Amino acid sequence: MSDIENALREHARQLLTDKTVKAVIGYEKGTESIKATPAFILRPEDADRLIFDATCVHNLVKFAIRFRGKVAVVVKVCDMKAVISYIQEAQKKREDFYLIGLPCTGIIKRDQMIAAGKTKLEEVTAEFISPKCPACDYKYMLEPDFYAGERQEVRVSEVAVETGYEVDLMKMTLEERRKFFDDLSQKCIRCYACRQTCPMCYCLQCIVDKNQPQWVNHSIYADNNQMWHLIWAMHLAGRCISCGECERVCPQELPLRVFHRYLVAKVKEHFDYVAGQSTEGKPPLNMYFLGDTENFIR
Amino acid sequence: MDKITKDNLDKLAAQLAEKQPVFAPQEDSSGVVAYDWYSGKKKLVWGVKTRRSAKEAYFPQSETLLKYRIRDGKVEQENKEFTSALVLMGIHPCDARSFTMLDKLFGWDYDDERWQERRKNSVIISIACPGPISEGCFCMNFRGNPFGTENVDVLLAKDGDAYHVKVASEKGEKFIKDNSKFFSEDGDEGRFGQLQQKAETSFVNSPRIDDPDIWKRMQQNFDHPIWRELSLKCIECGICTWLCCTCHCFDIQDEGGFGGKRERIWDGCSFKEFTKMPSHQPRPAYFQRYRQRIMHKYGYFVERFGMIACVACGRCIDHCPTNIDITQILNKLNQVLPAEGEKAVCNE
Repeated sequence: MSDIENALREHARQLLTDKTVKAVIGYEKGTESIKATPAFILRPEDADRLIFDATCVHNLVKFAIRFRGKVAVVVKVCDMKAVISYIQEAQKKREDFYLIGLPCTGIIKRDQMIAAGKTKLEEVTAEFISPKCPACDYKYMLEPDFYAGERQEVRVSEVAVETGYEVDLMKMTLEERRKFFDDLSQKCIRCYACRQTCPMCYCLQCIVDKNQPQWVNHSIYADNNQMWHLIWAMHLAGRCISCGECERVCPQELPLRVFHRYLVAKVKEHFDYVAGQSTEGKPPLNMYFLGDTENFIR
Repeated sequence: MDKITKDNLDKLAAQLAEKQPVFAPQEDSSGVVAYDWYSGKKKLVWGVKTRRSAKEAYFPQSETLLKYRIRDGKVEQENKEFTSALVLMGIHPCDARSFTMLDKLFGWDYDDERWQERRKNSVIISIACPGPISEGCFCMNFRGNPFGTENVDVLLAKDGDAYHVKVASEKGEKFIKDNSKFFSEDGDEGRFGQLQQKAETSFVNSPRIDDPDIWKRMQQNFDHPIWRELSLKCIECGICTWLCCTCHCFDIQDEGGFGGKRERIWDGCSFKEFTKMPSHQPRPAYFQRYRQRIMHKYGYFVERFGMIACVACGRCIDHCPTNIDITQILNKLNQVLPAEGEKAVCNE
C-alpha cells in the first residue's frame, strides 16, 4: 500500500466520521486483473477499500451529480475539467464538491494490455499508457480541497497534443471522410455507453430517447447511427473536455473521438476557447453577443 | 470420428455461403472479433471469444417485419420475407446453450415465427473452448460446459492445426455427409475425451457463484435497500444487455409517416425509456431498472420457465465500463438476503 492510498483512506475515513460529506467516490480493486472499479464509500469503516494506481481510469465526477448535497470525489488532473464544466454550466456548486486531488503518473489502456497478454501492473510500458497522459501538465485548474500524497510538480508536457491517434479528419479527403464515417456508423451498435459515460452528457432526457415526436429512429441502420453521432458531436462542440472515456468504453472499439478532437481544434481556432479551464464565462457555442462579427447570427 | 483442418473450415464456410447465409465469427477493421454474416470481405477467426453473442443470428438487433404505404385512404402492406435455412459456425457452446432459454421465451405466450423457423432449419457448428477463454468465463458454475453439446449439431475441438469432430445430432450427421470432402478420418479416437477433461478441469479452480440457488430468495427481497447500493456504479449504458446471450427484451416501432416500415428492435432495461408507457414509467429510478435486470435473469425467468436465464458467458463482466461483476452482485446478495421464507426488513 502506497503513501497516497494511506493518506486517501485516512482522510476519507475522517470526512465520513465528521459527516463533512455524504459519500466518498473513489476507486477500489476490480474483479478482473488490472481493473479498478468505482467505489462508493458511505461508511467510515469501508474507507480501506480505496486504492489509487494506474488502473484507475474512470472519470468519477459524473457520479457526483447523482447525490444531493456534498460528496467527496477523487479527481485526477484530467477529471478536474469535468468539475469545472459542471460548475460553469450550473450543474453543481463548488461547495457541493469536496475534491480530493492526488499525484497521477498516467493511466493504462487495459484492453490493449490484455490483448498483448499482460496482466500485471508491473508490465506497463509507455505504449500501454493512455494517449491523453503524455499531454498532461499535472496542473489542477481548480485547487482541490485535499491533496493525498506528495504534490506533483507542474511540468511542461512532453508532447503538446495527444499522441497515438492515426485518424485525423483534417488530413482526409472528402471521400476518405465519407468512407470513415460509413464504416464507423455501420459498426456502431448504439448501446449509448459513450453517451452514458461522457461527463458532459448530463441531459435529463437525450434527444435520441424522445419518442413524441421521435427525432431519431431506434433501429440500428447506418443512417440512424450517423444521426446519433452527428447530434452528439455537435452537442459537445466546445464542451468536450477530451477525457477519452467514450473511446475507452466503446464495446465496438470505434474511434469516436475523431469528431470531438476535430471540433476541439476548430473551437480553439475560431474562438480561442478550450473547455474545462475556467469556471467563469460560457462555452462559445452556448452564447451570443450583439457585437458578434459573423453575419449569420444577426 | 472425423477431423477437419483449419484451412478446410475456412473453405467450408466460403462454400456454404454461396448457397445460404453463414453466420461466423469474423474480425472487423477495429480488430473486434464478432459474429457476422459471411461475405468473404472479413477474416474468419475461430475460437476467440466473440464480442457479441450469437442471438443475433435468429433475433437481429433490428429487423424489418413489414413495409407499408398509405395511399388514397388504403393501406398497402408487404410482409418482409426471411431466410430460415442458416448455418451457424464457430458458435461457443454457451451461446448455443442460450437458445434453450430463448426457445422458451419465443414459444411462450406467442409463437414467434421468425425465431422458431430459423431455429428449426439451421445447423449449429460449435467450437469447444479449451478452458476459460476470457477472465469473465464461468460457465461451469451455471451447469454449462466448455464442451457442451446443448443445441449443437456438430462440435469441433481444437487440437493443433486441426479440429476433432463430434457429431451431436442427426442434423449434424447429415451435414457432415453432405460436406464430406472437407472432413478426413480421425486416427485418434480418445483425444476428444482427453481435451474435454482438460478443459473442464481448467475451470474447477474458479468457482465464482457461492449459491447457484439464490433465485429462491430473490423475490421476497424485492424492496431490500441493497439494490440501491449495488446499482450505484451502473452508468445505464446498454453494453451488458446488448452483449448478453439471453437478454431478449424488444420493442416494435413504426418508422415513417404515410410510407414506412415496422421494425423489431432490441430494448434494454438500462435505458431510461425502457417499458415507458403513455401514462408513466414504472421504473423511473435506475436502481429499479438495474434490479429488473438481475431479477429477470435470476428470479422471474426461473419461476416461469424453471431455468436461470444466464449461460455464464461473462461478456457483461468483461466489457462493463465500471466493472459491475454479476458474480460479485450475486455473492453480495447471497450475504445480505435472509434465508428462504424470511422477509427482508426494509428501512427506506
